[in-house]
Amino acid sequence: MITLQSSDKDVFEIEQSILIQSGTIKNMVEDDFTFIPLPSVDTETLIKIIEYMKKHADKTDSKEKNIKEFDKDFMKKTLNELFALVFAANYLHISSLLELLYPSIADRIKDKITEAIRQIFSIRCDFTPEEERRIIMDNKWAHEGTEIEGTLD
Amino acid sequence: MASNQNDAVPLHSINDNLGDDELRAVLTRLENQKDKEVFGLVCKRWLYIQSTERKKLCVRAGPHMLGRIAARFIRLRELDLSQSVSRSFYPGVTDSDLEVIATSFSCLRILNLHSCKGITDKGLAAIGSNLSSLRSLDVSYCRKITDKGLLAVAEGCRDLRTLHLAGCRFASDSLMKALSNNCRNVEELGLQGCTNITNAGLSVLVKGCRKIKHLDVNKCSSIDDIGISCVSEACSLTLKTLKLLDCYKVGDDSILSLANYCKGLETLVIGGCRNISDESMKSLAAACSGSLKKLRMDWCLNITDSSLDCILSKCRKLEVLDIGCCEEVTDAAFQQLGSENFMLGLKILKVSNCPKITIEGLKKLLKSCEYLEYLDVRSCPLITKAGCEEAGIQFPESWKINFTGNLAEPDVLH
Repeated sequence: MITLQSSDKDVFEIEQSILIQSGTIKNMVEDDFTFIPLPSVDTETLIKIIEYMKKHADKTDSKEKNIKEFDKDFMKKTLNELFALVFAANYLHISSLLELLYPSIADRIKDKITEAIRQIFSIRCDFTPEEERRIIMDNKWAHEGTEIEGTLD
Repeated sequence: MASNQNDAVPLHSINDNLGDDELRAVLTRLENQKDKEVFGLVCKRWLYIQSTERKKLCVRAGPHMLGRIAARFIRLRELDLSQSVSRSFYPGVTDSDLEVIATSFSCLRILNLHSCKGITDKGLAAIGSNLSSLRSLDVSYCRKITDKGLLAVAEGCRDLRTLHLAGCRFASDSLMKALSNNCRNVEELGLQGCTNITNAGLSVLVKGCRKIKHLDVNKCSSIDDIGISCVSEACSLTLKTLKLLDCYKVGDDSILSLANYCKGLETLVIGGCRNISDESMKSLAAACSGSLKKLRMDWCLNITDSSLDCILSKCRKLEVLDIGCCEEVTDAAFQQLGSENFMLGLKILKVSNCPKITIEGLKKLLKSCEYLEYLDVRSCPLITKAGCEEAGIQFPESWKINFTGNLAEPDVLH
């Protein structure tokens, strides 16, 4: 059993076999650590991470479908929770979780207009109206080359 | 733009919580161009991430926009400004544009200026002075360019791997020397129609550039066996493609030299090299039996069944063959094909204007060419659509057969 300590000083005892999904923890375990402090991860987030790893530890065929369902539900969180998870998953090197998180966050940006995105993410626009206009004009004629469309300057 | 300037923003904003790398990772999950543009409009930090994510850009706009692109997409690696019938604008790319590009995109590796007819040596000089990381440059059909500008590029862009100069009539042997001295990593050189290039130029070129994989000297009509022998010997380990269209002075010695040195040859274009005869082609077929994929030898008037038979039986990787106007070729060339278990991977076959080939030859082809996609039998008086139907020949659905010239040709051998 390995003991993890969150930034809020809460401790969790988890089986090693589950935790090695985290590259970071795996390395520490190989160096014979049994008590692992995680100052960058708060309790709330750590609980979710542990939940994820527990579910993904047992990857037998019959559980595949269950895992997919779980992942879908797992992503139904607020943006702030998702960001916290990204940070933690990054730090803990859990690439499968990151591969879930990035598209989920991207999904919240897809097909939205800029102002909507700013509101969702609570970002203040720091462009002047003139700057914004220029960028929109630029976008009309510089593209990646996959489509030929639009007017010429 | 490492840190953000948003003081008035509530505590848990994305800009605080996500680092640049994470934000970039999210951006790359956006597939739609429109979504990416919207991303870039959110705030300055997101614009920076979106702009620096861009490695490639195709620009179709007026030159005065370039300064703005330059300021925004600073990590650009590939810039495509090529002109064509479907993509062109007036007045087109100018030398001053090139000056902006050269000074702004320091990471640029690939620059495509195909048919940008307005540029001159001045623009090239700017490229040579600034874009030291440049690996690939295409100035085909930029007809105003001369050695002066090209030398500047050779001397400044020493990591050049690919250079396309088709139609640049003023390019000469001095450029070959400059490449030899400065650009030792050159792999692909397109000199179609550069009629001022001579044997001496090729000879000095391969003294320094010994890693050439693809060489196109189509229509450089002064080239003969001397130049080609230098090339084959120097680049024997790397040469994969050699194009000698209408280099009518090239003869058997070149082919023998290739057979001797370039056993990895995959594509050979010797259309119009009418001095080439059977013996050398047989040697080539034997030497490159494991590698030859594309062979164009239309108008090689001395070629007969004996070498063709050899080619077909030995070069089992052959996919494209053009023997148009090889008047001596008869059905006997295909005699191996009719036999059991003799399968060819041929995809494109052109036998136009071969008056001695008949429907019998065609039948043998049918048996052995399972993968054929395009067959050109124009101007073969003994092969007509009606004749084939009469003989009861059933062509597979997938074959495109050009009897009278109403089909578009696949652009594989140009």
